[in-house]
Amino acid sequence: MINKWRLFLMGILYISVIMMAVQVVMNRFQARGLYSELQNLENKNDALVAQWSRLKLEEGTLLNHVVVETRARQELNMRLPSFGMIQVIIE
Amino acid sequence: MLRSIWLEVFDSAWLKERADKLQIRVVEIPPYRGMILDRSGEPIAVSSPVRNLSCNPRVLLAKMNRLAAAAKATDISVEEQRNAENKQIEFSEKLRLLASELNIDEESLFNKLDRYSAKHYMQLARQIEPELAERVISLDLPGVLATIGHRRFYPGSETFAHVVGVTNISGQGVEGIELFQNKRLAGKKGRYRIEKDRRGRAIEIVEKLEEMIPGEDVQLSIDRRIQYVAYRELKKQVYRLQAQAGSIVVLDVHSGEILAMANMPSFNPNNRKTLKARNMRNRAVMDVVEMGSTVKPLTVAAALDSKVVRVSEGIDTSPGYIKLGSYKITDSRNLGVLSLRRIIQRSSNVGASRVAFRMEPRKHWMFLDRVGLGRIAGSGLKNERSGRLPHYRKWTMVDRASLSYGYGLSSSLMQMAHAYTVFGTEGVLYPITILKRKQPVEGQRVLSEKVANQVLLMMESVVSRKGTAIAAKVDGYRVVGKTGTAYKLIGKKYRKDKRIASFIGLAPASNPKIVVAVMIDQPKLDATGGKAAAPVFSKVMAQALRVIDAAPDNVQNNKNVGLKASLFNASGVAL
Repeated sequence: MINKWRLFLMGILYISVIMMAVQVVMNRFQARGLYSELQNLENKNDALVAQWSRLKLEEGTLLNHVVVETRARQELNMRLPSFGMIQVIIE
Repeated sequence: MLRSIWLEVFDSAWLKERADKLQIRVVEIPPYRGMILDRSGEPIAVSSPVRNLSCNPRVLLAKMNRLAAAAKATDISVEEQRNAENKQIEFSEKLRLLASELNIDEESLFNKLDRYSAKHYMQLARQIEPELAERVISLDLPGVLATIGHRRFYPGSETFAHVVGVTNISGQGVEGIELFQNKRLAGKKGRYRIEKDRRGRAIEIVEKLEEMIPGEDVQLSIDRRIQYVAYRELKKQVYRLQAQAGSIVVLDVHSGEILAMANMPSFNPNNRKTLKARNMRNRAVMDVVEMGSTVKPLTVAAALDSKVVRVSEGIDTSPGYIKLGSYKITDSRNLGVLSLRRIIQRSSNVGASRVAFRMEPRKHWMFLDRVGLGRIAGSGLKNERSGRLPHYRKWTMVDRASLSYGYGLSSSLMQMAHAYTVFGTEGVLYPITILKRKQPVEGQRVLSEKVANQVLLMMESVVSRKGTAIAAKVDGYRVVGKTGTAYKLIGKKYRKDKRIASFIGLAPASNPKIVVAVMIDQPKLDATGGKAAAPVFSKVMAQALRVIDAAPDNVQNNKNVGLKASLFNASGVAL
């Protein structure tokens, strides 16, 4: 009786060991897959960071007062109003 | 999936063999350096990812020699030989591409490889675009590697240079905010143990030894628009007057924030090769000088505050000089009896001295100390100098007199600008800062409200036809301020031909918001505060008032606007 139970238990343990082994392999396989995906995403992230910083830089360059001023003066024909041209509304 | 089970369970020998070709390496991931932003969040310093290319000359040369040997081998069939030759041609073609992509001469590349033939590491290119590195790596040359790095860019170049500073080639701050906030900006590099395959590609992170923490952004109190104008006008004036140097500081009186700070000569932080220590000095905080007459309003304020003079009182300055032993204090001429207002307007040394003589030295000293002279201001610019304010116990009569008109004590331009803020805040001194304030800060009362306002209005007379600095006026606003023309102390002599011209002022006078302080060092022409510094003040103040949207408080003087304004008046709007 005891032997039978033991055999049964052993059987279950064996099966579970094998199943777990399979699980381990599956997990590792999945981990590799996920890692390569992660790397892809990280590369994408890097590329986006690079692009973003370049855009920030471009923004900074375009915001340069010298650029803004020359474009405002030459392309848009703008000028600073003298104080005589300003109307002041005092509340 | 099934294959992986098969491999794992039954073919472990094959895997083992393959695993030997894999390497476990610790790689360092450099952190992304935080940006430096202006007060409205626009970038002043930005890092962009780049790649550094290197190669292992041993591996590369070994492959080259192997191919060459194979092509020359005689004990193989014709077809095999042709194959080997083709491979060799293909390889040298790749090397040529490498050289042309990196814009280096092919011959010098080979020479360098020869020199490094016994070494494991040779640099190919630094700080190149990621795309270019990608193209080189895709040539698939053995031993050629790309590592990640960052390069710092400063879109504002010279304009912000002294405040922002610069980083060194390895990305660490060496000057300015880059240095003082290096810890926050730098972040922490990550260290990962990774598994690489034969070609050096990462397959798996085995262990994260240290997580990479990117650097934080640092937001300055600087306003980009005011800063540009401040730098531009200062530069123009320094060139025009052939001056040796110049500085400008713009402060918000109520928050103590530095809205602009610029110096001449400046430098371009984007071009590391042209950096010179002389040009990198942030003179506005590092150079302490005797400021001269700009100290007079402080003397008058100290005297009024200790109640030794009355506002309406006249001070007799005749005969236009005071003799103290061998020391002689002089005015330009005998100005007679002057009110305090006229002492400031005419910048009378004798008058200021007579006022100072009435004060207890201790009270005089305490006031100058309270407004921050002789002390580190703690703006966050850690190269600040304290300047020198001698202790009152050591003051002689000569010291008491000379201190009253700005000699014998030295300060940086920033300290003086900071001291002047008390006239705009009704006597409260707010701590100065280069970082943007998130919330209002508590100030410290250093002067009574009444005295602060009295002195403020006295300074209005300076910016008038009879004063020393009509050039400081700003259309539409009431402006107050004081000029300074100090002789430079060189060795032990005051040189009358070498001067420091300055102007410090506030506006709008009816409700002061901004202090602008300008200093021109050794101008060759127009060497007075009223002619050298005041015009710069006027232009920068005009821009600053526009940027912060300050309401004009001097509209009556303008005919055009006066008419329009009276129209509004008629419809019930009070002027």
